[in-house]
Amino acid sequence: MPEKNKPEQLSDELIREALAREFESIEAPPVDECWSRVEAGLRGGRKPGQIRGFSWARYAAVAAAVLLVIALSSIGIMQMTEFASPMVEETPAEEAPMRTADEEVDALQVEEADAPEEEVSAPEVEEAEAPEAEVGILEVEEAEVPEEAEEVDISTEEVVVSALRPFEITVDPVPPEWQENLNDSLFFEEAVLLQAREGPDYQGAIYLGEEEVLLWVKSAVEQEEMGSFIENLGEHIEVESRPVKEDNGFIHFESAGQPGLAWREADQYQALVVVSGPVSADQLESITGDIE
Amino acid sequence: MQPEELKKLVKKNDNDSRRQLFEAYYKKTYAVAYNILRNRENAEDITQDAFIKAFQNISQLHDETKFGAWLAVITSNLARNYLKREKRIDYTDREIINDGASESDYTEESALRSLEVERIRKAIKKLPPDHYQVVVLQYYYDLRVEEIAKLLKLSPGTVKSRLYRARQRLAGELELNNDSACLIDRGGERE
Repeated sequence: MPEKNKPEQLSDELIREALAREFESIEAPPVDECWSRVEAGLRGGRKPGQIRGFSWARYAAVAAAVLLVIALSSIGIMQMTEFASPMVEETPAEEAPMRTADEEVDALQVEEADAPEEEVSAPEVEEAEAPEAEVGILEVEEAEVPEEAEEVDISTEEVVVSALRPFEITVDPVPPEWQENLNDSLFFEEAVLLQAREGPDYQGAIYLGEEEVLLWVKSAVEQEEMGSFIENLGEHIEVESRPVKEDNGFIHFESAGQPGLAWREADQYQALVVVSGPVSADQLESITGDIE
Repeated sequence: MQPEELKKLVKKNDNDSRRQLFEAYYKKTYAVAYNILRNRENAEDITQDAFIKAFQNISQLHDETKFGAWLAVITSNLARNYLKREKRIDYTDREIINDGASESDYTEESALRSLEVERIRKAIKKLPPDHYQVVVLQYYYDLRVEEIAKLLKLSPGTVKSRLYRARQRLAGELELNNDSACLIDRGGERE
């Protein structure tokens, strides 16, 4: 790009113009088609979140099928080799000299090497077999703050809780109002959605302290029993299926070795779970006292 | 759409009002989804999901005049979730399609400015989803930091920090020095 095309400064006006141009110039699919799907969705025809197209599960299934075909064809080749041997033996000894044991092994190795294993490339197999394995229980991605950023108020440090595994947590697209802090040191970070393959979705909020990460979960399921709430929560965040104890209307439980507390308030079940950091069950109980 | 009309439609939320809102915001919503996902079919799915969620949860919108920005937040959140699920967060390598106005579309008079805008447009497309989200809310929907923080349920400090980093990235992409990233209009400090 020639030097003269560079903007000398990045003004608000230029950014606004760039965004306006982007939004005006994009070629969107026909509006009527999409509207009819939205209408159907509003009537309950399609659950939001059901995305068409590529998925790892489908990819893994296809890769598994390919591997199975390759494995079967390899067995077939091996068997053909075995069946082929007597035919060789049927030929007169002087025309087909007998192989020594070592020569048999070498020949087999060559035949195996000829099997079309390279049809599936290594990265494809790795991706298909272990798509979930790369993240730990809590991956906190801390964005680098350049020295120049001092002018920006980053009192609430930007910590992007990008993945809580094995917790299946996603950003809540339409979050309710969550209180800004649980106490003097635990501040709201992000509204999340706990989604299970089966069972209801729960809305939650991540609160961060200096070392602590807490998850506050609310259920919006009508007529839900405490037992089902704990059980469903278990599907989301690996809560032990058996609550540890019941005390003062609180159900104490453990999640991945960390304390959790569930209670009922205005026909709604709620839970506060320690994701990481040094928070005891007693401290958790006192935090619930500060919740409005 | 005028704020009064917008307010009326959002409050009414019947089929006709929804259709009007849909038509008014469809393209912008699709653009937000597409810029994050870079896939037309998925962007279309996210667009329709965003409208469904918005219409179903419209009671949560306290200021009806902010419908567009609220919808942009829902859309970008859904798109970010989709990327997370599909583990395709490598936004740096995503294909940037020059699907808008080309540099040669402009006359001599506005050529320089157009080229500048075009370069910024391309740089914005390369922003990571959370940065793109705050840039759209501040510069397209003209929201203040506090308003963005309220919509995104983030602290104002986090929003400022994301805006600051977004400008740093834009400056880097445009090969400007860091001083130039501190916008001449001081947009990032608007509160």
